[in-house]
Amino acid sequence: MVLMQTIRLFPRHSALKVPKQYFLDTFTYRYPHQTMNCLNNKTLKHSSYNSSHCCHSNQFYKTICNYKNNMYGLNNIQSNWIHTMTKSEELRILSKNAYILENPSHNLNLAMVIVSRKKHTHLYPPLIESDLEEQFTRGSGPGGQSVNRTMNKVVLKHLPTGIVVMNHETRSLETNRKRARQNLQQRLDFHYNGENAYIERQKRIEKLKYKTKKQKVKSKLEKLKEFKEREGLE
Amino acid sequence: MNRITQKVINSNLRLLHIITNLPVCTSCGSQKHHRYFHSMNVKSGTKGNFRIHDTLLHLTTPKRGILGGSLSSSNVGCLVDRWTNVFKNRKISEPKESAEYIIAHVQGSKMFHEIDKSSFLTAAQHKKMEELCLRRLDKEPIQYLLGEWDFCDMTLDVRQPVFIPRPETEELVELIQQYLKTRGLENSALTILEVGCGSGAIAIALLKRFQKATCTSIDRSIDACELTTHNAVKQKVKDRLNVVHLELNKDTVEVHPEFTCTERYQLLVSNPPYIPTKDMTKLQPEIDLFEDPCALHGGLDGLDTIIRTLHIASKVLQDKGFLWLEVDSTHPAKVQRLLQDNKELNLHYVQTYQDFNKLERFCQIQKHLPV
Repeated sequence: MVLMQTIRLFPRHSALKVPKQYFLDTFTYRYPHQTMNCLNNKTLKHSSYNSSHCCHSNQFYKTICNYKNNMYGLNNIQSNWIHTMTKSEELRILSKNAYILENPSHNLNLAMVIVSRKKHTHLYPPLIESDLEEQFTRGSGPGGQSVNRTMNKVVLKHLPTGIVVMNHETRSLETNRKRARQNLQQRLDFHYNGENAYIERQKRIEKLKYKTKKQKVKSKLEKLKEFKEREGLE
Repeated sequence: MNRITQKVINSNLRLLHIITNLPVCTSCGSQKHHRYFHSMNVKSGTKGNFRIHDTLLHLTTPKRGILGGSLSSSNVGCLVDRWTNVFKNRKISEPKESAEYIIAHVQGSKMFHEIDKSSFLTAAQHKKMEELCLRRLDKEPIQYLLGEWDFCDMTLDVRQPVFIPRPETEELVELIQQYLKTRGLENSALTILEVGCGSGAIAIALLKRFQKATCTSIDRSIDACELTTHNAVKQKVKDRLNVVHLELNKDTVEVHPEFTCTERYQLLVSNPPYIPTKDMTKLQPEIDLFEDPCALHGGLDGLDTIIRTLHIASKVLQDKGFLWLEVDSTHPAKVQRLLQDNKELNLHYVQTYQDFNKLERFCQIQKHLPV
């Protein structure tokens, strides 16, 4: 589920003011085992990840990405700004979507990256293979070359929650298994995150789009009406 | 009566018999239609032919028909129910799926859930459906009836008598892909050898996944070679696939230019025939009657081609190259013992993987040259 990410890059200059709204942007995801809050105001120091050979900032960027990947399951964010980072600088993660590059010794904000909030990568609850129970309607038996069946239905059960997903979309068993897992992930997402689930978010965005579109049309019509009245047409 | 009309009559007779479930011709119990049944035995071909058509229509008109409603005017959903019953009565395996796949195929779709159940078939589609259903009654596998089947994310053509790719093989492809991915070999120029390509499923799937790989496929059946070439062209990987018609013997391999220079392949994949002789008698009729026994039968204990493949592997694989095999669930232990006994092959058993039925199905073997 990789989504396009848009990155707004603030110019690298002194005393940059960070818009207030991004500070408020915190995400909480409830998982069965842990509650994850985002790393608010946690700082990653360059030196803490610096081994003897990887002082190049590119390496540092990679370690950060790995770190974030571990924490959030995020994808690598394509950004150039961090390549130019020097040793004394720090990266402050404000939220999942906003990072500040700062130089504490000079008390300066150097740059800020904001990953667009609308299109951020959604964090799905992890699917653990040992939690899954897979059933096939092919029936058991020797299998392999000595069996020729066409029924490739997959029934996937998530044991901790008891959610059952079935899939028989294609004639290929492997594709069906993959699709069943995707479907199960979405169902789990809804189960754990409720309103914050990816589908729900998408629905809300669609709704909002529809609303604004409608409003635009309405205002346009009103303006036209006003104009006509003012000019004494009709 | 010429042969074609005889064929037509025969197929119509069978259809009639199937639809009505009445004994055909002289042995028929129905007094009402006895006249028509007799007319089929009349030697004047065309006349008989017409009569049969009349009978068919008679039997299937709402008033007289046993099934109620004429065949051509019922929608797709009804047709599936009807043919499911027919298949069930004839003890065809997977009756419902067979009917669904055939009707979906006739309508130009892959799956039954993709088509509208209340739609109707055209005359041509109806004719084709009847033909396919009759062939299904002969226990012909659905894959051969449709002429195509899905393998991983592509659709491959399948033709009689070439072996139909099984879902276990999809898993093998998936395993190989995962393994190479974790080792970062995705974008390297892999050289693959496939022994016993059949419809070319493994080779084409691997070539599609690894864009820089090249593959050589060998098979002893000319049909399989042709089909592999056809599928490769269809999937646009022909420029990286070399198909060789070759029987796997020590002599042929040593002579063939493809194998004269040793240690050129990084990966050897094979889904060899591995069914032991004692299991060959218990096969499904679909497999027994229609699929090439050469692609199934692996000798007395099913290890014949596997052993030959091991010898080839020890010759043509590069150092640290891998051999992946799909085998019977009794084989992994035997293969392991075999490699331990024959140290001169320089092959080391790495791991056994299970298939989705939790049976030990896949062997991973690595070649280590002595230091």
